[in-house]
Amino acid sequence: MSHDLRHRVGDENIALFGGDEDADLTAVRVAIYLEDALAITLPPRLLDAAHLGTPEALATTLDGLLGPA
Amino acid sequence: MCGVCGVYSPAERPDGGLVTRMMGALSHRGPDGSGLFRDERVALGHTRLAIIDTAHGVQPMCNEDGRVWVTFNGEIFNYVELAAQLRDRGHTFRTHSDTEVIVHAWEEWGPGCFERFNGQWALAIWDRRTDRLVLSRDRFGVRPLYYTRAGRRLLFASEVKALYVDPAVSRALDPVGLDQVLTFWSVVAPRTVFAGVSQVPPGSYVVVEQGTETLHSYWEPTFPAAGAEPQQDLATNVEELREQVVEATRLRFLRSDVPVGAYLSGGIDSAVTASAIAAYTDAELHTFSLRFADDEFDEGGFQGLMAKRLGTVHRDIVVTERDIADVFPDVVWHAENPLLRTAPAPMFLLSRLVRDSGFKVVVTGEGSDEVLAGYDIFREAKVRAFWARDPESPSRARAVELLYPWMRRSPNQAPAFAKSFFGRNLDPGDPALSHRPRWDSTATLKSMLTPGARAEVSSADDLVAGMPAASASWDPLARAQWLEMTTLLPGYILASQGDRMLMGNSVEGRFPFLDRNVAALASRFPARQKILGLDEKHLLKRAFEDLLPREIVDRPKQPYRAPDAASFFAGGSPDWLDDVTSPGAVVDAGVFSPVIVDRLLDKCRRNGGRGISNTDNMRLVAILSVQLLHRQLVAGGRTALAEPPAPVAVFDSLDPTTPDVPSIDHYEVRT
Repeated sequence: MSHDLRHRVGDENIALFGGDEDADLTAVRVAIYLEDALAITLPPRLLDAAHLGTPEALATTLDGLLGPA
Repeated sequence: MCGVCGVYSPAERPDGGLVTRMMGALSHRGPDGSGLFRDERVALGHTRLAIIDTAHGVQPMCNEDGRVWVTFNGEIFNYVELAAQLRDRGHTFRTHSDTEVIVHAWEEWGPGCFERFNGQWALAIWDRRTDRLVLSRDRFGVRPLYYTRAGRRLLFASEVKALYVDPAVSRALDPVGLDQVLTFWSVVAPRTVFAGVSQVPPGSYVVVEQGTETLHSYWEPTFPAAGAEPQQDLATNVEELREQVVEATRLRFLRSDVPVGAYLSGGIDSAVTASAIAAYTDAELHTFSLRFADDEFDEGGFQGLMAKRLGTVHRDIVVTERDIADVFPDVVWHAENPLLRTAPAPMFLLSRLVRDSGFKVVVTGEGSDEVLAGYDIFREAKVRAFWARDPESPSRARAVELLYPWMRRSPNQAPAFAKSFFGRNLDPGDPALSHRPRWDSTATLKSMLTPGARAEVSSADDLVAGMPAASASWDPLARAQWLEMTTLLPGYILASQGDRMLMGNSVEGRFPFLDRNVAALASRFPARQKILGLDEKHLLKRAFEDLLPREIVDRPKQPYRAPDAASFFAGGSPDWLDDVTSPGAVVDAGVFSPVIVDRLLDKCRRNGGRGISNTDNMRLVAILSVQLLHRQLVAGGRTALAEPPAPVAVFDSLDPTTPDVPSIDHYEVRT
């Protein structure tokens, strides 16, 4: 299941980054997507740029949520 | 595209003269000719806008032995394929029209034929074998169909004004219908705003027999359970969506015996359909656009960009505030609904441009926002749901800032307002979480109603209670789509702003995004792909990004709007306004409190209609449209044409000279 979810998120997240808003707002955009895709509610500590604001941060966060790729 | 009407009269011979006058009231829907059929129990009328088999498609039309008759408004786009199936089963065709396919399809499959039709229709079938009259309407309600009772008779017609031709039909506004409009912006079928008048709901048919009518549904919007969508792969979904949209557009462009044009709004939907035509056909494409003198509403830059890229023969019309005011009474006459925005008025002027340019069919992008999730209300709902999971979270509250970057008076510029607006009623378990802010703000208009015009109902609660049981398992986006497809799409987008504004100038609209196969495919996509993050219509953008300029793909969605109060007050008021809003006229209509009307008009006059709040704009347009509706239709202040368009083809089986076995050659043609 984790592999499927990771695959799904990997394919689809390409459109999430690259906006002109600040990184924390990008993190909110990513969080909206991620909660839809994984049917979860993210804990408050993850809703920031350090965890979701860049593709690299998202990858690390997904490792924590789904286990390493 | 056409007008249909008729009478079911079980106790006495139907009045052919009445139906002829009803046809006259529908002249604008079919100026190319008209037809009447009559027997002992039923009279069917038709006014024709000749588009397919223009030489032979005279209606009403019958089967081989004259025992099944149809009067039909619309198009069955897969009629070629259905005709082949029916020929294989032994049916003989005399024309190349889609109308004749309906007759034989009914003989072969009965009500099951409606599920096989891919199209847009409102029709009546008179089956003399079973003494049943059947009224049917397409899946999404593209074409209108109303009916009412007058004693033991049942009358039906494409428009209410044709029903009102019969003096036995009582005329009054319906408080429950008004309550619906002042909640959802539209009525919910089968309700109308006219007391005693019903409409056939989209995806339904009504069987009339032995004096009773029963309603049956053959289709309604449905979605898989959240997480169980069968189409999970994004790349495959993009590819299949493109194939289906291209095919739907090709069908709607090529299946016509008269030239077909296309609208270009400046947004992605019409850009996709026009591009599909240009890329997959060799025909010269004529495009039509609506522009505004006011830059706030104008999308001319994007329209021009698209027209240039496609190399179309392009025409546009620039609409001023005064144009809207001048045409508004005609708009209400054709819309036959209260309006909360003036947006239908420019659409009426655009279809006039189409007609004046020699076209009577256009392909447009309507339906994409509902089927593929383009509306801001869907994005708002995602933000509200995201926020509702932890209302105290400052990070979640910031999601509001991702909405509406285009809006001049954006909630982003007033965070306190935005958070108040979007943060209200945050109940994650509410099936209508998406629509509560709109419904609540619209419902404030009910405070203008007189006691006699108020209904003791809760339209919102009634609608939610009627949601399909399975919707509890749907994704919240799917529930929001269902609500939109049940209210605003058929009741406003396709009616007041669609069919009525097109047919007012005898122009047929065709909507590829409401194709049966496109809609079915889209319903199988996961919600997260339709709006990816907050990127609306994400799959559509991906599917056609190679055909469209980046400026069109990347631009934030701009809802179509027109100036409201300013249209009626900025440059002086039109002559009709004082007349329909005079204290006497307001009292006569009995809908709105005269004091409130007077106060609002004073406010608008003082400001020239500018700087008026969103709610006051809606209040004003509601007052003007309802007053006009009452004046023109309920009080009978405007008379429809009495004579149907010539030539009139008549098949009257009560006339002893009429042959027993009719053929299309046996019509008596009156010019």
